[in-house]
Amino acid sequence: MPEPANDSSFFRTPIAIVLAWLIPGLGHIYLGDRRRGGILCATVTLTFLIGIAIGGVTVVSPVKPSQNVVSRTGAPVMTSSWWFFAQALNGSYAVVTYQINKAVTDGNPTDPRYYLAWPSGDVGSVYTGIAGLLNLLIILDVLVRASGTQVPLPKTDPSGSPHHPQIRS
Amino acid sequence: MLNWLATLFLDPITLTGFQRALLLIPICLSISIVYKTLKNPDLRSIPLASLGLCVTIVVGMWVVAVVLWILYLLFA
Repeated sequence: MPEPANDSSFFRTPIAIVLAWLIPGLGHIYLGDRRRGGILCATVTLTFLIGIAIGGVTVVSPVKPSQNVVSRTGAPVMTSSWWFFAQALNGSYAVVTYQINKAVTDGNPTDPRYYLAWPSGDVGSVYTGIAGLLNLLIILDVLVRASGTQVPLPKTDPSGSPHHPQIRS
Repeated sequence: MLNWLATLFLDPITLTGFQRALLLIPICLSISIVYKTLKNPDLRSIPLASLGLCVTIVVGMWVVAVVLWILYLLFA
């Protein structure tokens, strides 16, 4: 029979999830897996920054022009606002970048002066969106680790007999 | 240097031709590292496992692209 959760274990999972959303990898660090959290943080942060470097801060925006317009470079705009849902999973990164985007575009991202260039805008959207989707995987892993419901895969030792490690609690 | 960095993050860079295909490698490497970091209990095995997965994804996507290109040439 499971022991009743005290306050600290009750808040442990939601705090870890919020931290993982705010900064990728911080949830793992909060749970004590510092090296794993550091690797995840560096990887997702670098992916997001590469996306911003390629496409500029305007790639993180829920408002995108339609396909019938052209960018300031004259190339067609082919971005989709659906990527913003994935980008928002980057937490604080997406919030800060979107605030910079609003400051740069004077709060009017549909102004033709700030239309995304093609293909840089699309590539930037994909990179930042994939970074967000990777962070979703990280958040789900934090949820599993924090709640202690991870079921480890059975390992086979050199003698050939299956070895079933204990489930962590 | 700071001006260049600010410009880099504000304005899109110009991508031409084969550069777009090369940008497949960093994104695949990121996906591989995150996946292997979450799956592998031993952190020391992550670099090699990530590299192997990244090569598998990139080569697989190139094979699919070449097959689709050949089909296009045959039936277009």
